[in-house]
Amino acid sequence: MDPQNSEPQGLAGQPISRRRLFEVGGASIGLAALLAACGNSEAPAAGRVGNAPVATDLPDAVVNDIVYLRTMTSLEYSLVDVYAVLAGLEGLPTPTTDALTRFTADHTANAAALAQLTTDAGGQPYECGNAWMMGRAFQPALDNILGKGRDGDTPAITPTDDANRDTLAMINGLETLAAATYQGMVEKLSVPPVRAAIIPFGAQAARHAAAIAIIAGGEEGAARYVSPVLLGAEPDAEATFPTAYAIPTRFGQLTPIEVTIGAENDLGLRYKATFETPADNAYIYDGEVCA
Amino acid sequence: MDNPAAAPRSAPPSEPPVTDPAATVPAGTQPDLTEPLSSAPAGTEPAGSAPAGSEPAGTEPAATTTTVPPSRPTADDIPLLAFAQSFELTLRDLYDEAIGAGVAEGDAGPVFSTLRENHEEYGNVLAGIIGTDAPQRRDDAIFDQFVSGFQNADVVGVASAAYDVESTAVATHTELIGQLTGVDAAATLAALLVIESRHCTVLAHLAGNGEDMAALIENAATALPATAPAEG
Repeated sequence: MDPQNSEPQGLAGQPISRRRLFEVGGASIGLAALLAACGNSEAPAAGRVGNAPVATDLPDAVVNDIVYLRTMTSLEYSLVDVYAVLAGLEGLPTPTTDALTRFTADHTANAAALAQLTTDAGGQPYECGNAWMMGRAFQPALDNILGKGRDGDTPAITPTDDANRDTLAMINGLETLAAATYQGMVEKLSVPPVRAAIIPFGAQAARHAAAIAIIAGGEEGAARYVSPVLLGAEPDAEATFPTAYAIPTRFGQLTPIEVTIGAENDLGLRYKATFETPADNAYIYDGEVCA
Repeated sequence: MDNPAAAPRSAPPSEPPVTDPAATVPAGTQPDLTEPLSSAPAGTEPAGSAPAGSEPAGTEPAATTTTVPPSRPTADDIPLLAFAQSFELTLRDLYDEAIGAGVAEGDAGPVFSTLRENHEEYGNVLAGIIGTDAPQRRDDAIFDQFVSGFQNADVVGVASAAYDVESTAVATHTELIGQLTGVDAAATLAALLVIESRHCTVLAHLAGNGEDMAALIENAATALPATAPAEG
């Protein structure tokens, strides 16, 4: 076909005259105007691709004393779970294994007591670990002690170069976390007798942490009694492994707890786990059941 | 970094108790633990978890009637807090006795002076909550009960005596937390109680019981009844 002399062709291959072109064009514009007038003015919804189910709004979850009690129970079970893993490490000295055994028994008893408090309050006890805290804080820390193979794009994790050092650091961090959790719960719980019922668990966890700090000092345990910061010294910001002290602060703190563990990576750095007291995402709401 | 000497949050001492009038229950009734205190979207994942102690941003209180504990101490709380403050100042004075007897001259000196400073600071913080009703003095009855163990320079002896009175303080504060209505005061007692518990572990170790795990971590003390501070 000669492009210089071509004419517009109709669907049937017939030439379209200039008059016919104006007629069709005018009708199209009129039809478009009619459709626009019949439509509403709302913005169209985003398009959907595939067969995804229709999204439904999440229900509002109530936060009350029962939720707090269930959450505390879950933390106790999490500590028992973590300690079971740590107790399986080879080469831990007797003071460390003795502490793990005793603390596991204490947390098991605490979990049972908290479950009973939940029942007494009219709630359903939650008798397993806290999946949120385990998945985001505790398990990654354990991975850096035990080591972990390559997982897709995630590189392998080298096992720790000092199992006892990291076990003691983990225990100190977790017990400090438990103490802070109970301390914070006193502020949240609405019924004074329930506050008094749970704070002994915090006091006990604080003593666990203090005992571990002294045990970690070995023969120099007395040097771990009081943080030098309380005696007016500057904290050692250069230390690779922050030293745990039996009396680290003047008041119990609710701030995140950082624990340095694991072997050095290629950059010469070690893993820093951060443990935070349970908040909204870590609460065990009514209706949640153990997986 | 955190200030290790920082006191926990507390409201100004002179304000009256704040109670939501629409959220109270008759005196003597136990609030329903199943009543919601606040609502939060379950399963939502905001960027980073909420900081400890915070409530969810942007959520509304539940519509149902509920009981919100007052922040400030109630009138009934004041005598209990006054007792707690006098107990703390008693502990300070007991350590002063031991320091005066020479116990601080050895390696354990910083430990005893730290514990003394801690208790003085606890007394100060409680005074801030109580306000002008704070007794600002020790309880002589408690002082007299424990002072004999502190009047010497023997580290083990003083640590043993201090262990007993610190354990009693923890047990007593636990009881008080169960009686206090105001949240600020209960939270403050909790914040100092967890450190006083650590004092007990250190004192147990210092007293030569480092091999005894039970001595390091158990508290078998009995709470003292809250009474008006006794003057000698």
